Amino acid sequence: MATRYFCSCREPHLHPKASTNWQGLIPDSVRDDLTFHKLEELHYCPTCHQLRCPLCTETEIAYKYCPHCLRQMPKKSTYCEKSCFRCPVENCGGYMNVSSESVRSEDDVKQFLGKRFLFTCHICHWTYTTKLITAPQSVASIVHSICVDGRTASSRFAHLKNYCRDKIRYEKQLGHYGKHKQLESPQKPRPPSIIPDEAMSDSSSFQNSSSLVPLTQPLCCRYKTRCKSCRNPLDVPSDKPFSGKCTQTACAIDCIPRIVPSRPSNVHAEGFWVYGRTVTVLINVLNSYRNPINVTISTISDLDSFNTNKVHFHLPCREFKVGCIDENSNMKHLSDYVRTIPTSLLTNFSYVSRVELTNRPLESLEALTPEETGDVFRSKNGVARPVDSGVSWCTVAAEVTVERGAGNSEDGVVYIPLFMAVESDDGQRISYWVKLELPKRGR
Amino acid sequence: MNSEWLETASHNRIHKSCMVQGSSFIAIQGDTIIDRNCTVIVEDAEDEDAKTTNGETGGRIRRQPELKVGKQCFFKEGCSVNLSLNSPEMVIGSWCIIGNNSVLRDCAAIGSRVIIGKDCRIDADCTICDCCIIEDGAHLPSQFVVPSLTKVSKNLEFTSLDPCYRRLNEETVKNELLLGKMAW
Repeated sequence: MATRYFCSCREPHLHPKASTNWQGLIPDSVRDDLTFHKLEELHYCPTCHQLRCPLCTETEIAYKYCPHCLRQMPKKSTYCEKSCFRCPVENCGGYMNVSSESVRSEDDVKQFLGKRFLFTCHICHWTYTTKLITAPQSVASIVHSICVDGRTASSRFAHLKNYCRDKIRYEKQLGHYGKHKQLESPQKPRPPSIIPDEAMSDSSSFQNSSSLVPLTQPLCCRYKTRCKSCRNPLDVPSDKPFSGKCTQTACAIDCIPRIVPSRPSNVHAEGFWVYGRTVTVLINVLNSYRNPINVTISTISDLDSFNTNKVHFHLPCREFKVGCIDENSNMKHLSDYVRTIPTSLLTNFSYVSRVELTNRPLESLEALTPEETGDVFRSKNGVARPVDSGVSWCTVAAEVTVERGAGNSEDGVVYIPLFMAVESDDGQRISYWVKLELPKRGR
Repeated sequence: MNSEWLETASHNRIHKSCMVQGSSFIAIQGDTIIDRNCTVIVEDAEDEDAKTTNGETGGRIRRQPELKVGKQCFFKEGCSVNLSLNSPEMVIGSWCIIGNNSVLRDCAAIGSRVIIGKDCRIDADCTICDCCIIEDGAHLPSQFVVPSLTKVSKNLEFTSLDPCYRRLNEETVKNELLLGKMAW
């Protein structure tokens, strides 16, 4: 069971002459499954007032960091420049402890010759000792130089790199030579051989543990997200890799109301619908925005094009208001948080939930446990009302009738597209499509 | 109140089938559930000294390890948290789920809003930063570090999570504590 939210980025642009009366038409892409996403995958652009799927956003590297020491690294680096190394032994991958020992002259103990670095894997206890290092340099650069000197792949890469550099220089000189004929013609660099002679012997020795060297730790990236349309930043991460906080976020989950379907609590059916019967489905609208919202829900009369079965959906209450959580209220306590959960979703699992159920108005509990289908719809002066509402949520009832479609196809899920128009008290407006997925089994 | 459960003054619920050792060195902030057949063991330095020959520790003073758990955590059925004398302390942040049959042994720290799946093994000196998801069956070797907003697969591959998981993970834990399920 899930509710998917629509992003219009796949909708083809209408040609001005294609249709004269295009307003009010249902977008073609609503029938495309790929246009619907989970709410946590979406962003809400406050400038464009639109939902943005991953295709409508672009990411750029905010900074790079080492996932082991959690230090920030320059963007040009690909490996940790500090002392983070991993064990090269197959199926180990443990982190290496690095220690150093000073080497002094045997004749004169006071004479300092250099340092040797000792790498020890704390899991498999594999060790590696560097040659004598006389000039001060970082451990990362020492290991890098060992890799370049000792490994075929690395040395081959170095040869290719030098060849490319020489070739670029040669082509530049060649252009220069064409203009000034009096200059000496440049010498064309020779490409390195395709299979170096030493490659075979070296690759066999590569498997030998004596030829292994500690592996450098690749860096991770933290990304900044932008809206492709207005180019404004949506997510800006904090500069601390160990913190989950962001300096700026525009997650859809923080402002778009969530739609959660449920069944009345006295219905002990396994799923949301049964063939040939009219069943009641509760649609819970949960407001995450900081202001109260007015919600208008519309649906399509032709639901057969979305389903293989024949589906009839009846929603009497289409306009209602949903409150909001007070910004000053502390939702950290479970007894406060439970107030934001609709009655139809509460269970007897915990003490707090049970107490909250008993505190909910009797009228709501009776409305959510109808004796017959149809009892659940409440109206006042002929206007349908929500069956239940709370601090930041509202529950409306709907009826779903499913009949077997052509060819007696057995599809376990019924899809109901809903068009949501949401207007907040501070004047923000957004409208979007959602697709309710009502499974035959599982609630 | 169900008789199968013990409830502390700070609303922590501990199932009676759990084995909790060294409770003097365990501090839980509140609203935490420790489900059936869980094991929480913090070794007692004094007991360990007594086991050695005539209480002699070779002049070394052992430091008593402590387990600190934040608020609103859920230790699911069969999970195990062990803290030996080799580790000074283990800190588990708020809004964390330790999945069924997962084992945490001498971890350094687990941040807030961390969801550890079923049958996971977290070895000594591991650090898991805030807002992380460890998938079912993952085995984090010792000294492993998981940066914040990261999903770790069974093969220890990292996937970045969106910032909305800060809220999502917290809601997941709260819904599990209140309703016994993820409500949405």
